Amino acid sequence: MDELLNDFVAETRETAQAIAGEIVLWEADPADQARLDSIFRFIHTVKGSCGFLDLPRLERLSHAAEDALSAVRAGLRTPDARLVTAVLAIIDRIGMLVDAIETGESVSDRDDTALVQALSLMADPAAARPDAEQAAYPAPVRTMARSIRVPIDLLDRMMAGVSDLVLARNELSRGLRVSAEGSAVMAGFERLSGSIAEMRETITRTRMARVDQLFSALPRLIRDVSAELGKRVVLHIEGGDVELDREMIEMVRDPLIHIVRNAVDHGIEPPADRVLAGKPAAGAVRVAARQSGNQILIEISDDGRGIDPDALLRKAVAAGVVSQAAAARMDRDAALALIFRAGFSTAEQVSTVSGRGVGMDVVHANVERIGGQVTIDSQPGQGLHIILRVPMTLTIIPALTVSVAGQPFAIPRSVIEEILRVSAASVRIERGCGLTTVSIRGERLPLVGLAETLAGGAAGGAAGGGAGDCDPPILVVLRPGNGGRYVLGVDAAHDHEELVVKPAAPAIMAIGIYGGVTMPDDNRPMLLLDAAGIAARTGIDIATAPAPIVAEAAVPTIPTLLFRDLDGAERAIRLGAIERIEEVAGSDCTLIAGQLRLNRDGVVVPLLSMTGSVADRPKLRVLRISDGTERLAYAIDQVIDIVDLAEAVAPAPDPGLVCGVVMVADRLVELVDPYWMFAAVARAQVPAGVRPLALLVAREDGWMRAFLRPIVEAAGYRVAFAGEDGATTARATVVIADGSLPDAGGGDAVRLRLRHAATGDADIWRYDRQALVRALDAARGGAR
Amino acid sequence: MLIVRIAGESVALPAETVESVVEIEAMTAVPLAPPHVVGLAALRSRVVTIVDPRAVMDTLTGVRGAPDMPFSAVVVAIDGHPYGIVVDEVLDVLPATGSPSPLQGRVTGGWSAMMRSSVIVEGRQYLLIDPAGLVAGGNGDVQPTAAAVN
Repeated sequence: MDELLNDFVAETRETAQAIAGEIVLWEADPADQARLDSIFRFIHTVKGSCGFLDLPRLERLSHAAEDALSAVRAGLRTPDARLVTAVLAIIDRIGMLVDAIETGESVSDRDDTALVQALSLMADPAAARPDAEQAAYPAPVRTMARSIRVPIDLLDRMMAGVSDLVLARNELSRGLRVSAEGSAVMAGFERLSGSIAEMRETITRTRMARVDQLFSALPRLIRDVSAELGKRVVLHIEGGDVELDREMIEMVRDPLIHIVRNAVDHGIEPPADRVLAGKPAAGAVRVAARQSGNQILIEISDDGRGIDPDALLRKAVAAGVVSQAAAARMDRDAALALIFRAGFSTAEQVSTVSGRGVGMDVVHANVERIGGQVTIDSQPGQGLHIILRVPMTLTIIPALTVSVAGQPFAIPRSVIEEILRVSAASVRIERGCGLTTVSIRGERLPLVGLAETLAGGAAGGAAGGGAGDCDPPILVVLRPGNGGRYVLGVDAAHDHEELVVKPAAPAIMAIGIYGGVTMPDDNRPMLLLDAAGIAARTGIDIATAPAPIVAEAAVPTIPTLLFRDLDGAERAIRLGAIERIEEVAGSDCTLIAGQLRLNRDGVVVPLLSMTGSVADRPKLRVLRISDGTERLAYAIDQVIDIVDLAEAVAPAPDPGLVCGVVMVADRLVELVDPYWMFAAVARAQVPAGVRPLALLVAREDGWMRAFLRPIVEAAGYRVAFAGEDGATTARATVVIADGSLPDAGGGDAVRLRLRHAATGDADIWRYDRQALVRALDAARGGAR
Repeated sequence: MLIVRIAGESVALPAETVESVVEIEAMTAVPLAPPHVVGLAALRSRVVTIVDPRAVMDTLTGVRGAPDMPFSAVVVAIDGHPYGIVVDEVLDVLPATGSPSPLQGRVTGGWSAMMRSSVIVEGRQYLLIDPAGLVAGGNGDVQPTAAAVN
């Protein structure tokens, strides 16, 4: 139901109940002017709302009652029992109709006229007995109201109560873990935990309101602004049913209105220009909301002239916002981001509607303050597309915890661009004249030491200059908005957490470097740092700090899946290789024809695993891996996480299921190799008959059979030993010998050497696996 | 009236502004905060800003260190924010006789910043602490740090 109508229903029902009492009292004392006034006001309000909401029946009824009452007020009529009855009847009917609006039922309007007539002076008392007549109808079933109105304050208290519950639960959980592991108490506790979590979720939802509330002001705004500017604009609204925290709606309201107003003022061209440009005379502004994970996206797009990044740059240079040199290095996105700089308006002419230079910078700052982001994309001549991303609730902000001198602080994730170690090869700290900069991959950014800032008071807390300035070990690259960036040096970076952030006391907010306060699960308050505030305090003018020169040449990362392998070890695999992850029963896995296979719904794929004991497990998870044509599965215990890892891999010395080692946080994790898996399966699937023959000519038969044979077979060969089954060198693709080399026939010959020696001959040391495999592969290549 | 001892003096706090009296065992420091804001403490799920009247009282003594843990704090809410006022000891809760009257003469040192009136309790006159004045750093309307930032 429409939000407005909903409010009307709730409000009317509430006051109607109160007013019925007033009327009865008024009847007892008709001279009571105050009572009469309040009754009149109620009827009047209902009438007004009905006109607005287009409810003609209610309007007619309330209008009649209003007329009668105003006659009483003017002294033209004295109230008598008949009048009071008639007014009461009308109020009852209003209540019925209002219920009907909510439930969607219909109420017969047969006796509306009778009700109205009952009010008139002339009416015959007998004719005006709506009560009697009404008795003939089935008693109206008063369906329970499906919504109630609750003060926000009460909701806040409920929220605080639930937060307390969560904290108490955490404390209890710590205690129970020690004393009651596995007991029945624990099971009860788990249930309690579950219901608390559910309750928290429900209460969070009660604070949600439809984004419709935000959008309802837009049609009028567009109408007024376009009328003033002589433009024609059509507004499209989508996604009004998306829900957002009530407080958040208030925070987003001004930015949204500003952007929409800008779109009409600066974006949409006058009709004549539009026609010349081959566009419809009426411009279109589209406002759409949608939910994406924990965020709400509000998109505002228009089909106007857009923003020309080059024109923006020229203006920025002319206004002294950026230097000529900096401008020359900016790419399109960086140039567009200039619109968020303070005191910078794109309008050629200042109009009454917008263009006073207070604008997008304020929008940007406001949205960022609530943990959101603004992105902008422009197609000159085609229009502008702005996306506001805001968290669904005001209070929960994804943040990184860092610490200096043992005290933890939180930094909103949205301003963090990168976290680096000072020891990283691409990072160099440069000092000079009290100013410290960090050079990251060739780009210089000012460095601010958090410890110095917090200790140093207002006198330029930039790191360096001080006596004991050892470099902070962890550098956090921050982009607090306005396009500028700087680096914050901290002692340690800890977790990424979703934190419930509340504003701190005014005396603390006034310091200017804190954005709020949060209470992590350990029940110790933690301060949230305000990245822009720290920059302002330390005197770094981030607006003039060099804009990104390198177009985001951050360390390329590859999404990688971390999992617990069957042998208990943590391993990783590149996410791109995985088709899906599924849970299967151990009985679906069978060792058949020398290969473990997974049979799922009649489709059989090879199954690989680190250990052999797959079929004994009741359940296991498998990674379905595809190379585009072939499929196989890899058995794991469980999925741990998906992380972005650098491309760099320390390769394993020998090819195998594990192709190398990667760094995950501070741990070394083996990376499994899908290439090897497919290669292994593919080799095994080539029928023995068509595999090339490797003839082993052995002096030391045992070593050849036990050690060399598996390697040769793994390389895709059929193995025969000299003197067996009439194996001859003539049919062999490769001949391997550890002694004198027989005539190799048409194939390659490899002679193995017992000891490692740096001789220049073609012999291969028998433990030089790579050389051996290379030789085997080369031989097979030659055979084709 | 809540009668408390602060810096050795017995003073009164209007009981209707007092939410509770708590024992503070752990605090988070707030770097760069004005001297009287000594830290943040957790009170159930709320974060309470701890203010120390001794720091407001006499700026001549300079910044005092944080109070020794644990200490008692009187929790008051001002503009929707909970504050904990550090006290030496809570003495009693007693009804006041009559309404507070404006101060006659001057009180010494920093007390003047957070006291505007006195009250008679059980025949004895107590100076009445104005929690809002205390929270504002004893300087009712000017917050020195605010100007520096904006």
